[in-house]
Amino acid sequence: MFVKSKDVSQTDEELIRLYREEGHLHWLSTLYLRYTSMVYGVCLKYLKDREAARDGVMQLYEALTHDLRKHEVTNFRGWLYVKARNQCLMELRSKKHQPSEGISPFLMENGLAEHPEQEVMLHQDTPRLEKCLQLLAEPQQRCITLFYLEEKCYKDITRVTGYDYNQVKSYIQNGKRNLKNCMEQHGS
Amino acid sequence: MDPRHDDIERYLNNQMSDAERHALEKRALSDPFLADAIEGAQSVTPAEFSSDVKTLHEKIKVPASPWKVSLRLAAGVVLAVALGWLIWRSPGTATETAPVLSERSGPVAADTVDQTKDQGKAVESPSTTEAKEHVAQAEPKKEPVAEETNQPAPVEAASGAAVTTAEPAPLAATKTDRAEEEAAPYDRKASAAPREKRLAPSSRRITGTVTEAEDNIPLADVVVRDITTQQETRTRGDGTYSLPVTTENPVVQYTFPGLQPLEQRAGNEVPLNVQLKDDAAQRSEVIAFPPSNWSSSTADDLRLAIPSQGMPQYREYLENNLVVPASAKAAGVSGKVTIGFTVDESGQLKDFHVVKGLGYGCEEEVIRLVKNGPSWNAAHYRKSHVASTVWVKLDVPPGR
Repeated sequence: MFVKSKDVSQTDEELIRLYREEGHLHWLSTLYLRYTSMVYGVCLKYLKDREAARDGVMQLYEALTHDLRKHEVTNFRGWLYVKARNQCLMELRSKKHQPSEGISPFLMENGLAEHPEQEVMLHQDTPRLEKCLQLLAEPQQRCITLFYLEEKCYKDITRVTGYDYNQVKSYIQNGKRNLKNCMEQHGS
Repeated sequence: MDPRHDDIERYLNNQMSDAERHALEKRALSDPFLADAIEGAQSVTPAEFSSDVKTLHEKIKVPASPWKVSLRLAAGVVLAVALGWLIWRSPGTATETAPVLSERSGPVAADTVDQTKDQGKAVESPSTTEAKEHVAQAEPKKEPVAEETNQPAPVEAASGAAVTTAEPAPLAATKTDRAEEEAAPYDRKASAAPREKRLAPSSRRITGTVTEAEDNIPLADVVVRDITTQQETRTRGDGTYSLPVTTENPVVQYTFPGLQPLEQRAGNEVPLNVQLKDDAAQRSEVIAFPPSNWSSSTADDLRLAIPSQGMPQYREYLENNLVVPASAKAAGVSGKVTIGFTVDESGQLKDFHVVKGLGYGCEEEVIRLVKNGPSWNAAHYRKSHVASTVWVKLDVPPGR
């Protein structure tokens, strides 16, 4: 029989293999439960409605029941993300009854940031990093320093700086991007 | 790699240490999945999020015992109940409800155009024996039932059919059904009446959905034409269409720029769902959409956006100049990337976005190609240049 601890230790890929071989939904549900809250979060972000987002999670689950049998999936996590996002965007598009115009606004940014990039900063070339850090706008510089060098979480940074959570987040995101661009420009 | 599945909830509910919070935030900065998930989760209250996730968990969880009832079966039961209701509601049409329903799930479920074609052929065969057989088989079961308004028998028959045929695409099935219902509740009734008699050709409508085979994207503005009468229409934004026909088994042609055209004999199945596919041998595909102010009633003077040096050369450029990013090679990803962009009135390219991506820099590479590539001529409509959307789909080969 299936023991719970066994489920936990299985990798995504092992669960997919078991599901493909045995066709038993238990394996698939075990796998999907690992990502339910993330998929739900993604659906919430795009659909902006709790009920629609819950439906989205279940729809995707149902789609997985046959997709995983048909397709070989190697990087499940990444694949699931793309799939979840596409499904939400299709949903949005079908609501608008517009083939292609409706999807552009937020896709661009996220689509381009699709893949986990290596942590460029901090591990290399400190003098150049310092120089680039100096070039950042003050709030970005401050948040980046607190986050990366002092390893403070967003909550702490809001307390120290007085910025609100979303400001902190965006300063760090933008600061990180600017820093990376700067490092690349001045590199090589 | 994925520490814990309840990380987001713990984060929202302040159940993490500061160090844990920092670690998660840091991960989110380079993990768009996590970043999106957190952002979405923060749009509701932590309590709402937790309770929704809990509800979902309960729905998804499947115990380890070997029970065979699947979601699909559940969908079948829903269909069967709906069918029972239909029969109960309209005894007159009961004879044809069952075969129609089972055929309906056929084309929806078909994975490839080939399958759909085969089905079409089966129906089109000279004597249409197969279709008749369906009716014949169904009749003895249903006739008495319809009169007695007694449901169990047909329900069972139908659930069998639904469970087997709906198998590959339960999602698509529910979606298109819904779309069709919204789009043309009247159409189905209208087409049901003449079909039942199967006599003199009279006016009815063929309805269905056109999707792109590979991604199952509903295709808008596909030309749907009855090739004998040349009567034509175009699909709506959600890929649905409704074509009035006057002949018994018309051949319907579906054409869409950039995809293989398809001809399909329209039998009695409702809806007639088809999938258009790109040429398997082709590594690239360019789909130009009509401008947003375009309406299908004035189709005449529309000219879609087109690369100034011509489509074949443009596709050649895309295929020959793609550089598979090193990160994609390292990760071993390959497949199709679809990006969209706008060709504005002056032929400038802007608003690049990812329609379907692979990650690892592949989308950026295709966008780069298009941005730096040959110029475009804007779409032309009603005597002026207009902005329109174009999709470029490019095959990223496995890294060497």
